[in-house]
Amino acid sequence: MITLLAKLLKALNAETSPWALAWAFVLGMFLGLTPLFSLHNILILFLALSLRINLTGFIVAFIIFSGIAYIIDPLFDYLGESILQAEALQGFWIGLYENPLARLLQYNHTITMGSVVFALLFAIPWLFISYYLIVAYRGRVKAWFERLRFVQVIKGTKFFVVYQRISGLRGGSL
Amino acid sequence: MKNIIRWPGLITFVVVVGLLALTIRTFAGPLVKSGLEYGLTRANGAEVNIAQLQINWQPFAVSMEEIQFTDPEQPKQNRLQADTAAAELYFWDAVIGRIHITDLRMTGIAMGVARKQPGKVRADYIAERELRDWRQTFADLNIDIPSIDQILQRSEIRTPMLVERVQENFKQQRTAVESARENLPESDTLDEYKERLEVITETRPRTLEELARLRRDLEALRSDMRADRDAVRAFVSVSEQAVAVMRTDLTELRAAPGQDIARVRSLLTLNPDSLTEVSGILFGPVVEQWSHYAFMAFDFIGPMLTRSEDDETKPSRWEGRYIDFDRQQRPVFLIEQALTDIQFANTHIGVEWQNLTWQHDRIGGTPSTYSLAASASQYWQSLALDGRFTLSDLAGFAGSQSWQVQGVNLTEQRLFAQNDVVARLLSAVLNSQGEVGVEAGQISGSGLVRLQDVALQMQGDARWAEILGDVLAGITAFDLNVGVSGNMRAPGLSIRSDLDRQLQRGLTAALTAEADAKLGELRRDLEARVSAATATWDPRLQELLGTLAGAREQNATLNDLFSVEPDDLELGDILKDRLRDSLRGRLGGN
Repeated sequence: MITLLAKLLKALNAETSPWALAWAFVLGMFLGLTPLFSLHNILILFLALSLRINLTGFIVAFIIFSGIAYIIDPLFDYLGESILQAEALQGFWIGLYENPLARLLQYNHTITMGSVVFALLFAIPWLFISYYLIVAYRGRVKAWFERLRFVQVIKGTKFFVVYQRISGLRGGSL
Repeated sequence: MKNIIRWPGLITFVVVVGLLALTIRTFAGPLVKSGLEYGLTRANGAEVNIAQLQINWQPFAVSMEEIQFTDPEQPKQNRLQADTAAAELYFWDAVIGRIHITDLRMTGIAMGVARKQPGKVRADYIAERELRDWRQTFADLNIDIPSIDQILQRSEIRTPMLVERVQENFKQQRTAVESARENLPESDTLDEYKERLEVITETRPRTLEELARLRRDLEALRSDMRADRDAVRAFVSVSEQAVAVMRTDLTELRAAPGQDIARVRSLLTLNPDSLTEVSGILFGPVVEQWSHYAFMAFDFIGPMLTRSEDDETKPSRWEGRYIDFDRQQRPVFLIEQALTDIQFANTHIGVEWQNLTWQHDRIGGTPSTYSLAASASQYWQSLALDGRFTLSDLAGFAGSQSWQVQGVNLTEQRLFAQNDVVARLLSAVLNSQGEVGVEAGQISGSGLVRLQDVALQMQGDARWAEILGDVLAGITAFDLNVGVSGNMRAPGLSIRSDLDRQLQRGLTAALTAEADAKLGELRRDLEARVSAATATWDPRLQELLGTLAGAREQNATLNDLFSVEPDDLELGDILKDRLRDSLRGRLGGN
C-alpha cells in the first residue's frame, strides 16, 4: 500500500500529464462504483490498459470508489429501479431484453443500471474536477504541503525512503 | 495516436482475454459441471455428483454421465441416479439464464441405490420427515412368545386355592353345625313332651280347678319346650346355611378346572396390539423402496419447487434485483419433452414427460404431465402410472398421480435381518393400485398392495423366530394398505395389513397346539384335586342333609306341640277332634 501511495505521489509530482491522471481517476471511479463482475468492466479494463493513463491512479480510484459504492448501493438500487421502471423507456428495455449481449451486460439489474448511469453522468464532472485538483496540487498545494511539519516528519520515515527509491531522485524534493 | 495507445497494455489485454476465452472454451465442461453440481446440491440438500459432462457447441447440447443425487435423509444411498443424461437447448437462452430444453433423454435411472461413499448433506438441510427405523421398531416391539410353563406361572391357576378355601369353609360350617347340634334335645325329651301333652289333652276337666291345673301344666310344658325349640331352630338355620355354602362351594369347585384351562387358553391367544406392527416391520423397508419408484416424479419436481420458492425471495436493496422484461412470458425453465429410462428389476421402463416447468402460468396453464406404460413382460403383466401437476402464482402447486400395477412377479428379496433372524420374501405376485393428490406441496392418498402366491421364510435360532417362521410359511396371500401423507418430496408411509391378523391367528394356533399336551396334564391334575376334595365333602354334605331333615322334623313336632294354647283347654269334651287328630297324625297315629 505504501508503495502504491508512493507511486501515486510520484505521478502527481512528476511529469505525468494531468489528463492522463484525470482519466485514470474516471476509469477507476467507473470500475469502483459499478458491480465488479460485470461485462462492461471488461471494457473499462481494456481502456485502462490500452490508453496511456496512469495505472496507479486508476487502481487507487478503484479502491476508494469501491468503498463509496458499498455505502451508496441502495441509492444505485433506487436510481436503477426508477430508470428501469420509467414508462417512457419500457419499450426500449423490453426490446433490449431479447438481446443476449444486453442481458449479459445485466442492464436489467437495478444496481448495475443505477451505478452505470451514475458513473456515466459523474464521469465528465469528475474528469474536470480531477484535472483541476491535479493542476492545483502541482501549482500551489505542493509548496504549501512541503512546509507542513508532518511532511517534514514523513521525510524521515520508511515511506519517504520508498518514495525516493521509486522516484529515483536521491535527495530530491517533494 | 501513438501517444494515446499503450500498445504493451493493449496486447496484454488481448492476450489475457484471449487466453481466458480459450480456457473457458476448453474447460467449459468441468466449469459447467462444477456449477451444476453446486446448484443441484443446493436444491437437493445433499451432495450431487456428475462424473463427466461434455458440451457440444453445434448444435448446443449438454451430456452427462453418472449423475447421483444423494438422499439427504439417508446419505449412504442415492435418492436418484442416472447413467446418462443428454439435453439439447438454446445456447443464447442458456447464456442469459433461460433454460429451454427441447429434448431431454435420461437412461439408467434408479432410486435408492447404495453409494460407494456416503454423500455430504448440506448443513442448512432441514429434515422433511423423520425416518422410521423399522429395526428399532422391531426391537421396541419386543416380540415374546412365552413358553407354556411361563404361561402357567402367570395364569393364576385358581383350583388349588379354591380347594383350600372350600375346605376351610367346610371346616367352619362343620364347627358351627356341630356346635348347634350339641344343643339339640334328645328324642327321649321330645317323647316326654308328647306324653305330657297327651296327658294334658286327654284329660277331661270337670271342674274349673281341674281346668286351671291343666292350664298350668300346659304352661309349664311350653316353658320347658321353648329352649329346645329355639335350639332346634338355630340348628336348622345353621345347617341350612352350611348346606347352601357347601353346595355353592362344591359347584364352584367342580367348575374350577374348566375355568382355569379356559383362562390359560385365553392367555395363549396373543394380544392383537402386539402384532399390529409386524407387517410394517417386515414390509416397511420394501414398501419404502417401492414408493421410491411410485413417487419418482416428485424427485424430478422437487428441485423445481425449490426454484419456484427462490423466485419469491424478496430482493435486497444492497444486492438489487433483476427486472423481468419478458412480455412474451416465456418460462425461465422449460423442458418440452423428456424421455427417461428407469432401471427396475433388471429391465427398463420408459417414462415420458411433457412441459416440465415451474412456471405453468407462462405456458398457458398447460400442466406438466408424465406417464409410464409398460406392456407385459416376464416380470409383470402391466404397469401404468400417470401424473400431472401445475405450479401457478394463484393456485400454488397442485397435482395428482395414479398407478395400476398388475401381476408383478417379485423375486427373492430380504425383508429383514437382525440378530441372526432373517426374513425373506421368496416369491409373490404383486398387484397394486392407488391414487395420491398434492395440494400446496403436501401429499395425501393411499394405495393397495395385494400380494398373492406368497412364499415367506423366516430363519433364526430364537424360539419366537421359529414359531413365527412356521406361521409365515403358511401365509399365502395378504393385503397391504399403504397410506401416504406429508411433504411431497419426502412422503411418509403408514401400513395396515391383514397380515397381522393372519399372524395372530396362526401364532395362537401354533401355541395352542404346543400347549394341548401340557393343558391336558394340568386338567387331570386339577380334576384330581377337586375329586379328592369332593370325595371328602360330598358324603359330609349328604350327612348334613340327613341331620337337617331330622332337625326339621323335630322343629315341626315342636311347632305342633306349641300349637296347643292354654286357652284351647275348656271344660268337658272341649278339645277339638282336629287337634287330637293332628297330634295323632304327627306322632305316628297313636
